Amino acid sequence: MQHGPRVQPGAARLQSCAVQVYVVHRLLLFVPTLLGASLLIFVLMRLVPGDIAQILVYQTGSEQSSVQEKQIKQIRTELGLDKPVLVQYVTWLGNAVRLDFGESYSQRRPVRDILLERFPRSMELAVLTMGLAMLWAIPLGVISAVRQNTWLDYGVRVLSISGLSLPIFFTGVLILYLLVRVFRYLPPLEYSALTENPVENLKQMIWPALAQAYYISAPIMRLTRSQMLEVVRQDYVRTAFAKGLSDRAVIYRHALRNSLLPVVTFIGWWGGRLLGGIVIMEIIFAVPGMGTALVQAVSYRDYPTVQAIVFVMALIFLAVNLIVDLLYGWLDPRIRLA
Amino acid sequence: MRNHRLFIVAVVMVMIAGVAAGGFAQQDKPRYGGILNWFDYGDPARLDVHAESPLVVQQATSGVYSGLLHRDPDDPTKIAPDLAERYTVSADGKTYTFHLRKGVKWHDGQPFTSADVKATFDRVLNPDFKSPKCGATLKPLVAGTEIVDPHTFQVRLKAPAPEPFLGAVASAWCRIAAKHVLEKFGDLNKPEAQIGTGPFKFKKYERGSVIEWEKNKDYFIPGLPYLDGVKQFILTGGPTQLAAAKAGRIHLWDTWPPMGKAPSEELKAARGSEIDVYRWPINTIWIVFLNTTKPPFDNPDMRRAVHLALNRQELITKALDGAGVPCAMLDPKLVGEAALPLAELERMPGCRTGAGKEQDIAEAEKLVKKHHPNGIDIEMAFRQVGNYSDRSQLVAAQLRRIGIRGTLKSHESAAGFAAFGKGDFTLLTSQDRAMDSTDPGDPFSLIWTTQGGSNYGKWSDPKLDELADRALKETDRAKRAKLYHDLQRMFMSGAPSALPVGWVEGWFFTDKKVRGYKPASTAYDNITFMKVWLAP
Amino acid sequence: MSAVAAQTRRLLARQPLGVAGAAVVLVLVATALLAPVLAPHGPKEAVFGQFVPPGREFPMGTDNLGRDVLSRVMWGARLSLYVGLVSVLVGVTIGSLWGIFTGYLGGIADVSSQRVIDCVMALPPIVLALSLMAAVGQSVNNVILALTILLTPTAARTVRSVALGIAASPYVEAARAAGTSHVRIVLRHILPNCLATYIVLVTTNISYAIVVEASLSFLGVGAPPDEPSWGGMLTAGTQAMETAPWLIFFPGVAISLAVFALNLLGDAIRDIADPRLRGGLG
Repeated sequence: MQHGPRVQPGAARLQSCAVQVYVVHRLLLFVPTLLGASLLIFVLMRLVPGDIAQILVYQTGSEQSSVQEKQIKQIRTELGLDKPVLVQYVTWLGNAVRLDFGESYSQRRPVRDILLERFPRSMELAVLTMGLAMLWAIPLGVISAVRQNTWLDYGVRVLSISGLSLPIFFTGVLILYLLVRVFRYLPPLEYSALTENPVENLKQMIWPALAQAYYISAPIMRLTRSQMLEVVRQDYVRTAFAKGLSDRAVIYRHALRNSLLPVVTFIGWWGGRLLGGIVIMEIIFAVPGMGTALVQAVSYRDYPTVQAIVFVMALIFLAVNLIVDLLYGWLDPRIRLA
Repeated sequence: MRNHRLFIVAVVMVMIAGVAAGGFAQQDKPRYGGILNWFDYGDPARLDVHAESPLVVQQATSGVYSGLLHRDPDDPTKIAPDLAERYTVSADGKTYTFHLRKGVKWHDGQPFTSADVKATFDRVLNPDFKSPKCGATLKPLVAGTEIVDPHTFQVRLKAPAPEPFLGAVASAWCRIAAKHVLEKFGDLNKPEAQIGTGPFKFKKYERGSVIEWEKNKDYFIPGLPYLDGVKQFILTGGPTQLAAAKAGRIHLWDTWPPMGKAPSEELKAARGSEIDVYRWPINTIWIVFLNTTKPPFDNPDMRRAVHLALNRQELITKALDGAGVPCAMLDPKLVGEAALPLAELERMPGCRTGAGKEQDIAEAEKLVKKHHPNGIDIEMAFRQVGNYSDRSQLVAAQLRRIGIRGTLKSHESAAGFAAFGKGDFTLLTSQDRAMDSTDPGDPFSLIWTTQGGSNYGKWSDPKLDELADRALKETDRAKRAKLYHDLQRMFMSGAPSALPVGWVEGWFFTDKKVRGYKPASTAYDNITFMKVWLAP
Repeated sequence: MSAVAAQTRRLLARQPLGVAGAAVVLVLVATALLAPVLAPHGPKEAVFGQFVPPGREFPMGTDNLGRDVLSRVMWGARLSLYVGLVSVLVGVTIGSLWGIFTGYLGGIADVSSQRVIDCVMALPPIVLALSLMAAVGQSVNNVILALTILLTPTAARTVRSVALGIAASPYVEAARAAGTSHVRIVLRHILPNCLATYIVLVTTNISYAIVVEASLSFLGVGAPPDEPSWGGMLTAGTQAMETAPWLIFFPGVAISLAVFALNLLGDAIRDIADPRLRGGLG
């Protein structure tokens, strides 16, 4: 999934006016993209065969078959599923603007409650994952670049690729299995809020975060390495070396700071992406987050819930990217504006 | 002679040992306190026991409510009084009068009266209210209900039907809800609406994570419950469930899906003598459905061919590690005499083994050849849950031998029901149907009659329907059993569309600390834990 | 001959990991192609004892239904590489052409295509794949379809930015000034220059496709379970990790090896083909 920062070191320095235009431009794009994404998932969900009325009635399969037809119609009317799809979308959108996401078909409670309850947990997991990944990925990336083409470099690169090589569900299951088998330890099965019981919370969250961080760290490590290599080759770093500054000083004072910019962009991009990726981790480690809610909602064709969760995921993704882009433009005005 | 004497000595010794063990067990005095932990395989989300049907809803709420009657916690095969101290039946067998316990309080302190019972019955009997379990069973039976006085309640039936009616009233799905709660909340979906008269109060529902009950100190049976509370973790991942069991985090596994043999052995190895692992029927039948509205199975010959060719014994051995009763339409273990004896069943074409099976397969091949000389390619559908995929692969392999070549098509779990309900399939390799009671009429009303809610193949045989109806209404036990035997013989020698593969069993465990727990013959019953206690 | 040997030696010295990756990929491809010949049994043939540990008769043991694991792993190479290769080739090709044309044409076509890509990319990939699979139903070809839809927009975006750069280069401007037709410019100048990017995208995304396929299997919306997909085998194997560790070990090793080797190869190709493109997820 290549979507690195679009960096053009040679581009002309922009004036502050252009930066403002850029910011406005980006903000204007934000809304239509969000709408487009929500329409996309809306249409996609309507293409999925079966609706919740059929599922609820046929799943039970106890009523006489002549009654079943009647009940399906009844539920559809009740939920407004008998209206044209476009009308449904417009209604949904109209309410969503007022932050009213309707009632969940499968949970029979406001979708807003589901979002408020689940969203912070998934965010926590995503932030924790990203933090852990950066903690070891960036130093290893630097080492790898500084000792380019040595066995140390190869070792670090192999380690990083190995993280990509196992499907994350398997890493998760393996962690769980080894904890029980070797240490007879199982992380808490009951969710505790970070604000109420931070220790219990972290005891549960650390493992899915580790499993996922192992996977995520690979691209971060590789990007850090290549950025470092690029920066090290640039004139001012060579000059610094030539002036006789120590290796360490050059690396930290000059090279690292400059090479971290694209890494930050990339991390922002991945950070938004993570919200979707933790679905699997949440299932394995029994974390009641947005991912598990989403999987359940998709399988029950709970349109309002799916719609709202995906909407928020897209919102976060776009917002994080917007912030990162703006931050980036502010830190390094040489970027070419799209 | 000597052998006989030895035998008698042995019997006496066993009896003494039994009495000693029993006496010892009785001396084992129940201990108060402790929290029982187990798990739900899914998040129930909606908690209305009258309006829902998944097992998780029952798991989440069963200890909170009481019924008029219930399954006896000491012997779940029997029906025992609960909120009704006793009941009387009129001479014509059509009027049941329930005499209710006095002084019972709802968890919010309000007194329990016959108005609550009336509200509950009115609710589930309402033709516009979708009540898939309790209502679906009671609606065809009940003519009307009446409050006699605050502690007496009467139900009039359309016709005498003691077994189905009492079975329904004692079922976990027909528990009594409070009138004032129904009026306040409109339904029983919300956690706050979980106000019952049961041994436990609904304490906490952390969605997607945990459900907790706490001891009801004002429970109407003094001294009960023993436990301080019950905690259910919501664990949806198979590996997570097994890990929780291995780590000793849960006290018992009595939920769907049961463990397979391999996980149960791993568990035994991990926990050793701390747990009891046992095999138990789950009152569930595995059916292969053929769609009679579409070719090729609109043709009775083709249906007969599949019936003959399926090797149920092999399916049970391989897919269920032998845990099941192959070929049976009714399981003698569960319904008793109404089930056709297994010995007779094994002689019937389609259920035979060895040389007989080879004959059946040859016959099936002939039937297929008659209509499709070059064999036929069809789609074989199943839902992607449990070990359905394993089973499907075996079914497909068996049918390939007679020239029916299947491509497997898997559906997402919930969506599969929508497709099957609409009749959107050709052959369904594996669909389990759990029964709500051990009444032999259950599987017929659900699967094998025209109006059956799980008659996915849209099969209709008026003669069978009529016979099933007669069997359902027959009040004489022996005559009723005979009618069911006839039904089974008729069915197995014809060309049906819902082919029984067998009754499913599975492996479960309980921690040895858990005492007083007796699994019932349905997974829904006797999980109130009212008499369960934890040894130190 | 000696020239080839010398070149190989040079490559080995400069890209030892890449060469190692290439060697493993070659073995995997050979296994995939020759699976019908090499595999001792059919991948769906459930006729042996259940849970037979690895030994002389079954080098990788048998699974819970009595199928030969070795045969399934071999056929699995075929399936995984098929899924990976087809989805990536189709997705990246469509995406690249899309990116080139909209990038070159610019204007409203480019802007609107960028917005569409934004919309698709705003949805988390696993969520998109999950809903897609729910919509189209489970089959090997539908997994390919879902992966293709996942890969197309990212490829389009990457290639577009490369194409933009080339379109603005002096020689393309010169060609345009000389009155060369658009089609000719795209075919002559832009397409060939995007080839390096294209190759890099293909090699790095195959492994991604294999891993995503496995995750879909775990969520129950992957390839049908009787298909010998490595992800499906791994998922099924987690049910009896202790009784039959070989059921997770061999498919696990197969996935890791394939993804690992493809990544090494992809890195090497990236270094050789286009040093500017380093740092993608791969």
